[in-house]
Amino acid sequence: MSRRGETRLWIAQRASAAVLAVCVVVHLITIVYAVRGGLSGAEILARTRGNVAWFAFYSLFVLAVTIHAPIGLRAIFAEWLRWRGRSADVTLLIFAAALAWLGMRAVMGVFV
Amino acid sequence: MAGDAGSDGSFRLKTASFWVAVVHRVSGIALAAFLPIHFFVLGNALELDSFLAWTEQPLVKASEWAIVVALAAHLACGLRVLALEFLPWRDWQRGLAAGAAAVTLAAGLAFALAL
Amino acid sequence: MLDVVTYIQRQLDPTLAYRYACRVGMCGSCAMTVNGAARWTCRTHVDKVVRNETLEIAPLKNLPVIRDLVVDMREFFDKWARAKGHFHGARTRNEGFEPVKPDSEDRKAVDAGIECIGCGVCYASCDVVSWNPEYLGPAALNRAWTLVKDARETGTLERLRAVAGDAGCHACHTHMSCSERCPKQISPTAGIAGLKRAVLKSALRGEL
Repeated sequence: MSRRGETRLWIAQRASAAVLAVCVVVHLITIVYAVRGGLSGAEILARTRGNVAWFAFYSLFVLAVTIHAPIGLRAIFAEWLRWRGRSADVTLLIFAAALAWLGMRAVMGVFV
Repeated sequence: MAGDAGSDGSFRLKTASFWVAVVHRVSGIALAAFLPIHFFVLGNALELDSFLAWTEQPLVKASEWAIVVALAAHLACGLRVLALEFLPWRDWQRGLAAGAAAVTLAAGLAFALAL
Repeated sequence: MLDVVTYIQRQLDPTLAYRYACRVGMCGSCAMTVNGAARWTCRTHVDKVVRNETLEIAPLKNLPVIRDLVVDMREFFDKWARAKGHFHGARTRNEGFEPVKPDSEDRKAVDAGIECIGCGVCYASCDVVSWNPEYLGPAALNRAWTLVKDARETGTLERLRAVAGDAGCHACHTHMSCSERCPKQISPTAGIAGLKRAVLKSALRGEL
């Protein structure tokens, strides 16, 4: 990859990290609230289904994860597995696509 | 930014920051491995009640706790990286390693108590 | 430690190859790995490093060994050049000096990193150097940083391009072994963080 491309990956990594910092805190508070509140499945889905705000939030969450995780793994592939170059990048792209697919499938299931 | 020789002049072989970076990396791997499973299970959870009942099992609860600790650790260590890279350089930033550890512990304990 | 090595070479094994020059902590030639940590042997007292009455002296890590305790420093200095670690001013001897305020923030940043003598201790201590053969390393990047912050410099954009990417500043994971071990108390981690910010600014302006 070109130096410009690698720089863009770094920027995307830090930007998605900032977004995730907020999303993760909100998510953990929400989950603890739901678990402690003893909400049943039906009660949770009643609150989440059709909720545009939460749908938007979790879609953003999934997008940020799809950007952040593969770029993080890319450094690990290169430094600990000595796996660099096109084959590593393509593998990570496929992983990103899988995360996006599974993530949006989950978001659709809970919020639509 | 003084070189941190111990009081006897010796150097430890790995810095505290090295261990924080390892925790950051290993927790990241754990999260990258967990998230596809998390998404998949959630996407299947049309029967949310039976899913919630399943999550009451001790092994599942222990895994959840491990994932939350990994998440808190990764976030705390990541905040340390962001501080070192974006904030004007100050000596106190060397202590961020300790801060990251403390935050992780706190979050993990909080979650354990909430479970 | 340098006295120990010299004693070994003079009295016990004349074939021992090792490097030193000034003997007084100014040149950095005598850097070696002592009980696992890279240090200047002329400034390391045996008392401070001996463990279980044992001393292990090895050549610097992350560099090819020529013989015994001597390493090939060429790659270290090649990377210095690849990071554009050389100065390009605009003025000639026919123009006046370019004024540089010593208390400006930029000059203070340069001063914090300018005393590097290229001893290789930071490079030998860096995990990323051992994991990533192309990584320019803390010394080269620190030198590039001092030039990026130099008000007289004309080649800044070219330098930022040279230090960006997987082989450059973006590969630093802030382990801070370099900053901890530097015998001149320089913090390459700080300089590299500065390079990350400078490259970001440049990239956002579309200059990179």
